[in-house]
Amino acid sequence: MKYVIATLLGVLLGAAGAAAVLYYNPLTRVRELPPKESWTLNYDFPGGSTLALTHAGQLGLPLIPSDVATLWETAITDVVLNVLVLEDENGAPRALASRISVPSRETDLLLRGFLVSEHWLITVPGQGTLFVDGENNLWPFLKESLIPVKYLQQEWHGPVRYPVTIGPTVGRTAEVFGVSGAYAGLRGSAVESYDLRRFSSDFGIEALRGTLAVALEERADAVEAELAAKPATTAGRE
Amino acid sequence: MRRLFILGLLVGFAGLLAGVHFFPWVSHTRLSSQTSVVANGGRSEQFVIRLPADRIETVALDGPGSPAANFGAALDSQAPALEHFKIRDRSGNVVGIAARHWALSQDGATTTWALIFPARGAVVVAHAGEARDAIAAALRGRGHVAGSQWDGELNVALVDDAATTRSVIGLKEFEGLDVRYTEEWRLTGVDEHGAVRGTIELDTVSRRGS
Repeated sequence: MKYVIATLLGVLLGAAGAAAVLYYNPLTRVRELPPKESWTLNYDFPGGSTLALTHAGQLGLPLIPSDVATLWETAITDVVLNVLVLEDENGAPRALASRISVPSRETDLLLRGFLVSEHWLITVPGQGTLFVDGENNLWPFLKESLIPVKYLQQEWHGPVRYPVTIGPTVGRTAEVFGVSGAYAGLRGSAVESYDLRRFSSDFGIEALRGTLAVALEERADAVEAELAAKPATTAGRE
Repeated sequence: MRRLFILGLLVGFAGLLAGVHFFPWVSHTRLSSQTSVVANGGRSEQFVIRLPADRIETVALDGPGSPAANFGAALDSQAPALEHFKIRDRSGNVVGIAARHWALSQDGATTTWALIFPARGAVVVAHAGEARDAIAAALRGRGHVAGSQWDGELNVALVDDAATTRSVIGLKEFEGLDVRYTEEWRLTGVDEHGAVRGTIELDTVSRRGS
């Protein structure tokens, strides 16, 4: 009997040690990137900036408006659709965005974190439309705010800032694709961060200010021409 | 006993880490893609939106208390139209969701579709946008009066030549594909609140490279 108890005790302590490693694991942290020359688009979540918010109904988030269609079908049950008004640095409305969030199959709580694919279709009235493809890591938010406060009834230590974008580019930024108008053919990068201002065990996220910093760089055709020119340049040097 | 304790310690430690690493935390339901090969190369796939059931939300920009009301005059002449739908495969299974933005800029109107398939990836395609309220105008041409019910059959091809469309980006399963599309609205009715009944058919052809 004592052998069984010793083994079980060992397993439990080992698992506790692993849990501590997971909690402090530097691999799943998200580092804040130095700011690029960019324009920032801000929004308030879950209310304030939201024109529409829908999901399958089990996330503890509101449905806005309350009669919006829910995403209950099997193939889309993990999806969150959020339609937002995005504001500029001065708080003036700048753009309208459809944000479609899908948990990523790349999620790996040991090496990468809890990943969510973020697809933004953003239209700036009178200017044009752009698409942003991002990958966010929500694991720091989950382990520091959601799980301890909501499920372990601990006190929330906030406000707190979470940089969340970790990809999909090697530079750990989201990719921006200009679609039309002034943005047609432009490429760029973006990073998103959350300023979590109020969080409670009863209501979850009560006040969050999200920021999407977009840096538009070169025209896609210029990038392609540069890439096409690289092998020739290399060959010329040899 | 000490050896068992240490063995348990190692098993507990490595077991939890391995479990967390290999556990499939996210798994999307994948329905088989209903594609067919087209004669001159490429892959065709039809997506269908059934109205009104698949309309998630048409964003009201001018409603009372709408955050978009702060745009003020900027939206008077340049208001974009944002629509969101569930999208189905040819057999009628919901396979993803779509955002459709119609927007004016200095180059004229553009319609952009972002089609998101959780199990497969995403496609963004665009086309020179139709005239504002093109569907309402077509319905008026067939005798529909605003605020009243209408029944009939009306096909409106908003994009009838796929060659005029643009493939912006494909992600995951659609990466590297040049996706073109046609868009046809097949309407069978309008209720007294203006909600249309019918289907939107997006016929896509994907080819490798652009």
